[in-house]
Amino acid sequence: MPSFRLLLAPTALAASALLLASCAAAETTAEGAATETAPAALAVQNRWVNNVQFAGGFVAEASGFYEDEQLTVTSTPGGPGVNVEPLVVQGTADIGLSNPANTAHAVAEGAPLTIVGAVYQTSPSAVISLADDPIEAPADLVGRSVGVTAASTASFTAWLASAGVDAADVEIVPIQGDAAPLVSGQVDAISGLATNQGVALELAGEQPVVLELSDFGRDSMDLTYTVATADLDDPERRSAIVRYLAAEIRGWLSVIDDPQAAVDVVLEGPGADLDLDAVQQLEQATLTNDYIRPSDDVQVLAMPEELVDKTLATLAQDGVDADASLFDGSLVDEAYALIEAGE
Amino acid sequence: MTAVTASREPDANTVRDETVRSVGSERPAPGPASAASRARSAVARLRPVLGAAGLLLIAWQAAAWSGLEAAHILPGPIAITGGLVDSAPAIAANLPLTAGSALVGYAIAAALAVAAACLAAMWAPALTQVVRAAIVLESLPTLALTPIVVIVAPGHTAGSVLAGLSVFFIVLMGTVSGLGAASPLMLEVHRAAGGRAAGAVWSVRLPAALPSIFSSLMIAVPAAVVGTIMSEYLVVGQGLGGIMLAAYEAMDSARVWAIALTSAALTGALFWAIGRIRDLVVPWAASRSTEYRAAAPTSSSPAHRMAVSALTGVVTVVVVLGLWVLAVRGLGLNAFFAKTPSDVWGYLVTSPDARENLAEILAYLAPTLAKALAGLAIGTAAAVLAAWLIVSLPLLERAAMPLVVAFRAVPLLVLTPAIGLLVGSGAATAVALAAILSFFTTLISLVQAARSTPRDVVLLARSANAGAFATQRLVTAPFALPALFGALRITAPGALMAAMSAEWLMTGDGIGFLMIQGGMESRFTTMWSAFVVMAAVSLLVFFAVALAERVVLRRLS
Repeated sequence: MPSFRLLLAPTALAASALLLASCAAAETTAEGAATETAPAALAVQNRWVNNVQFAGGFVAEASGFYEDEQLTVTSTPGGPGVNVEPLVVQGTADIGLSNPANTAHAVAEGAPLTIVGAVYQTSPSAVISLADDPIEAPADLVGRSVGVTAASTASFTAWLASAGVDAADVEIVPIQGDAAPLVSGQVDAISGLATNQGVALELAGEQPVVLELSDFGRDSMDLTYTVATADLDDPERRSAIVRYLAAEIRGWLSVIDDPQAAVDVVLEGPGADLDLDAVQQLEQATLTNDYIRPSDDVQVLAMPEELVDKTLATLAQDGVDADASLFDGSLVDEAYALIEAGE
Repeated sequence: MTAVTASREPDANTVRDETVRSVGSERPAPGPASAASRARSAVARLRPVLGAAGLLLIAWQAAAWSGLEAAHILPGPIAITGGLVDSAPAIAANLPLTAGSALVGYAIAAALAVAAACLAAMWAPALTQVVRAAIVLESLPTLALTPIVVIVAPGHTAGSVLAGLSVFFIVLMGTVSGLGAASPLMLEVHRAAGGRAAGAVWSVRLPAALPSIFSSLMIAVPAAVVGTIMSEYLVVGQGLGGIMLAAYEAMDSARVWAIALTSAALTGALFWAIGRIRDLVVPWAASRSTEYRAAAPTSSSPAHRMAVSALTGVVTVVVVLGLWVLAVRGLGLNAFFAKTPSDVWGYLVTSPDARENLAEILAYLAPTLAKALAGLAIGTAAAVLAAWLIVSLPLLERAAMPLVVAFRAVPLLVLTPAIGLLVGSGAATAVALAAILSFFTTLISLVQAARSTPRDVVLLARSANAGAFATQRLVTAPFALPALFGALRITAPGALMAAMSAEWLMTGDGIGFLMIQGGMESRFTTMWSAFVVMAAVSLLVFFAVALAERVVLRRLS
């Protein structure tokens, strides 16, 4: 197994000591649990086009992290019409990158699904306006128009209420998602992601003002890994998912460590045909890192209890029926154990 | 019974044929003229078109420079040309993906459609059912099925399936109407010589059907390309639709329009290629005369006809529902998202909440109907006015009609967000889309109908000192009326689809929104029920137009 010390970047001395110890350990686990590490093929459905938003997986593939885990991973891009949940229920995809609200809705409708990890530990949802007419607090929205996508209208109005703004005082204009209606003056602000539209606006020569919803009482995990609950009870399938998460963790750590290298992987590999703007992708990757690992003591992809509680509170605010059984954080914990054993 | 159905279908197809013919007939007349003089006459013929195109481009550029371009609303032709250059590598990488998906779906669906029509043609009751099922299936909002299609056909297969679905019904109808167009005399000869009905399909009917089949193959091209690009945009994330989505996200409007032009060019190229194949296989097809006719008179009593219609109607419903169940079961789709007719029946009719469920869907349907109707009215009125002007002023006809036909290759649906920026609001976008689609279809069929007004009748009117406009009103209009109804059969359900698609893509209200929201929130029974209601309304609209046509044309004749 290749060494993984560069990514976790402990001190060189400790690393070499660990390396010596773990080489021996790895061999025994590999021998002892031969059935569990059987080669497996996994199909992953992303919720958008192949851009830097999914860099963790693309880097894991390019760096051989999946291969290390004896996994063959096929990832499929998506778009605005993709509902990840039915794809996982049908078995077309083994793992879907979605968000807690969509998965919770599906579970409430009887889909046997579980969320096993979260890329964003805090939500990049934001209200974005322009500097010449900035929206800096929820109260600034009174009497103004906000562009909101159809998909996020319910959660946006729920946030308005929780932030003490009467939704009747705000004109909500349906938009497609990009920031063009803001620049064209069609709306005074848009609801979007701090990591996406803000960057596009800056590159278009505008001065965006970003109000993060998490600063005003609304926070949630996002870009979550959804799997079929039945897979968690099948030792072989479960092992494959744990190993997949281990590879993803290593991939995301690489992205945090070197966003430029990650952007290069995306632009030269899965995203090559899209001819994406390299500057925009780097900016987005760099900004996104703060949501993947808000502080150094955070374990990437992990879902500690407080995060689950915060997410459930937000779901409840939106009127989505869900409880803690929607999440199973034990696989990420096992993935970390696997990484440590593999070092 | 077959006669009733068959008499309706050729009309609906005739309207679409106009697009084919108006493009297909743009070729130099054969004759002894030298190459040089042919070239000169070609230039003379092109001059008005080039002039009109030039004026259009200048007006467009002026509008863009007046502030629209700076506000990211509408880039001008110069910026779009820049966008085309800048996007060349991305387009070169993705065009083959889109063309490949579209062609695979197109070829398979066209082959299946011709085969199905030929098989059905061997037995009249089957033919009636196939035609009716095709009418029902063609009026389905297939776009709203994309999230379901991608589950069984992931990746580029989804693009092929969506292209195929659009192509299948068009070619099926084209083939059926072509098979019905065989000369009765030839069929009689075949029968007298001891041939069976099945043999007649191959030796008499199919050769006679070739022109009609090729017409439908040409008509199906834009549908195939748009189907593929829309599915790429919505679910595949690759191909021209994929880079379109990325371009929207990056607010690169020059690239958005450059991609739209590329897909128009792809449509045009495929259209041209199939036209050339047609000219090789059936050289006489392009010169086939057009005949507009109202529904053929039937000799049976009204009560008898109603009974027969009701019976075949019931059989059709059973056939379509059977196909639905067969698809769900055959593909092994999970009941979580793949609902069956009984789920929908329960949701809308028998469950304790049925009343509220239906009320919710109808409440979402109302704004869709309003938008579609407004768009249809505006588009049709504008088309009648434009047709009047174009037919009265021959120079205008030569200048504008090629542009009008070319414009139909632009994948409007993909430009929905761009149109949204232009017109300012989601509701206006839905109306605008419905209006634009109605306008072009109606205009083309009206102008074609006016052209086919018998020359001697027009000359008679002229000799009686009728002016150009009076000739229009008195002579051409009655001939164009059937064409107007023929167009309405396409544009009325089409306007509904356009409004629904705009809602689906951006407006946030209406039944299109309910469907996408239903998918997002895993309310799949709601989604399927809305789909069924939408299909039923679309069929009602189709039959209402057919009925109105019958009444009006009977009063005229």
